[in-house]
Amino acid sequence: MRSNSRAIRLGFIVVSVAAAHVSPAAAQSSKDPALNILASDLGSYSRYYAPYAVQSAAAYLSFNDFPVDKKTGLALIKVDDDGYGEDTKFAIRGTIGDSVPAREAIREWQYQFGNDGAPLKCIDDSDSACKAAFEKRGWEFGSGPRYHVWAHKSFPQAGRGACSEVSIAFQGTVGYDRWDWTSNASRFGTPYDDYYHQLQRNINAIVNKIRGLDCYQRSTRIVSTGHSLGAGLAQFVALANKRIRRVFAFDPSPVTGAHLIDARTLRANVQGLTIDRIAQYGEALWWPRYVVEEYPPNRFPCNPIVRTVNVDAVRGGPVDLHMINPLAGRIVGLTYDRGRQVTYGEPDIPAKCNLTNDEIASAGAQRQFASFKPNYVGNGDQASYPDLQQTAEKPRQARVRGTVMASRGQGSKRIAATEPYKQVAQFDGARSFVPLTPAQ
Amino acid sequence: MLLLVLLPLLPEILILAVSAYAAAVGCQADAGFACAVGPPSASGVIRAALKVAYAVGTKFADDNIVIAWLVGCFLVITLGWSRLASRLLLAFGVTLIFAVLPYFGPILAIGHLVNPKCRPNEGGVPPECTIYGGDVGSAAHNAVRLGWKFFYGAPVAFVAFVLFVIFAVAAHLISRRRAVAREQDAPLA
Repeated sequence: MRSNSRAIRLGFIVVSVAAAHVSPAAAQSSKDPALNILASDLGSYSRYYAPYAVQSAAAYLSFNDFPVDKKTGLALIKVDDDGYGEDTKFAIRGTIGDSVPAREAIREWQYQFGNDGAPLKCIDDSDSACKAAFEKRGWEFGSGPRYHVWAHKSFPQAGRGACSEVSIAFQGTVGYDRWDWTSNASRFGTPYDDYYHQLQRNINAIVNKIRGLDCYQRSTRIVSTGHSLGAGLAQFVALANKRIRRVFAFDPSPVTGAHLIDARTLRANVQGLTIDRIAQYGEALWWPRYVVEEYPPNRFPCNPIVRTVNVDAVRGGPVDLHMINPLAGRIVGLTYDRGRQVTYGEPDIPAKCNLTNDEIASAGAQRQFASFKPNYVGNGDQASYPDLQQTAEKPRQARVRGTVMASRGQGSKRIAATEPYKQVAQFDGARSFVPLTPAQ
Repeated sequence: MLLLVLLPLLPEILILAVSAYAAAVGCQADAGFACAVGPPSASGVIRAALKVAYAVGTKFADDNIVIAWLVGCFLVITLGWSRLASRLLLAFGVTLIFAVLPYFGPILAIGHLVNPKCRPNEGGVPPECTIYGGDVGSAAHNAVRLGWKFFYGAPVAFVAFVLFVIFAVAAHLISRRRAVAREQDAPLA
């Protein structure tokens, strides 16, 4: 009898402590509608999300059949008489099907380059930091992350125009590939050189390759997107690289790879970052994201802003709902209302997004940081990654102006692509972004 | 015991048997024509088996059938084996099987059938998936997504195993104490 009452008392204490830890996040999330966009409101922002939804779906397709310019390594894309690229037509036919809304959603985008599953050793041969990390890598891995890089240009496509945005779209889990599942278990400390580890040492080189694109301008924004595992990787690269400022994560994995990034780098890189977690309600990963979500937590108000965007696209069991096609199809479908394209709109910045770093830390981030530890000494070494070094030393509060996140300060200067880290080092603190106007 | 272990995995066994038969009669997974394995086609059998495997996996994870199934297995182990080490070893093996195979079994079973016309993935892209000349479609894609249920089902299975270990060890200690007491109470020969 006495042991029973002790057990009840112990249980009560455990529940109380758990509730005390959970309640701040729950309270802040439920009050700010800017952090929890309802499915009924999605139509207003459908044009904002639609291109990334299509890219995330198309990430499951292989673009290997498109010819590649041997000199630049970029895909050579034909454009038809109406101005539509073969890449965009291939992307929508292979995913949500050809339709006017689908074509309109992605017509301004052009496929640039990607990786079709080759293990990433070091993309940049001259990258000594990457090589050092590679030497210390985990067990050999038989595969690499699959991703496509898209550039947002004008329509109709006219050769060497500037791009306002570049997107990296990561593929999710492919069934027979045990490497994909090993990467999904990265949170539990796999000994393998999984996709998160491969990207950790190569994301700077990928970003530098993007910055070497002809269309790249000082004001070009780099974003990442993906579905499920791909969404986890998309969040990870944004946490690991200061240049990636927006993430569009569809049905995301609760694994973001934040445990691989040291606390100072992470704290610096989340300044001004926006993560949209767009998910079908009730899909297979819906509850895991609440129970075992890795940093950053859901509906975090600022630095990073973590928005939950609800979609109500299909009916079925949790496993059936975890599909990208109906989700992308629904978002694209909402871009038209009775045959007319809806107005372009971006979600509002959360009202609380003027907090100081200390306030953010006390809201939950600090607790998460306590468990972080760098996986590679070399890769977490900020001396090897000047961009991280500088941003880590001077984390600044991002400023919000209008509907875009913008940091004040100087812009960047383009220098020779042969010195990738010096090139990145030109971006001091969080000052490399200037406000963009919506391309539409 | 074997029946209890194999019963939930019958769909996967059926897929492996059908594909082995199909290979024996010269069918190829990426062929453009149907491969008959009796009255039904190979793709039809595989599609149906995948649907059953999916139902088993989701029931095991979502409805906690995995607990009921493991309790049944543990009961048979307790009744059939008297040594503590044997019980624990068998129970661990069975737990491992039911922590993994109901969720990853379908992917593993069709892994060797993947071909350029069928690349099952959790996104369901592209929707069609042709194996032995027939569209297996969403059943193959669902088999991939079912893998995520591992994160629901496996922890439950291991909790069940831990409870069994406690029960088995306690039962062993009690029975030993009783045996000792019986020996002490017994009149000297």
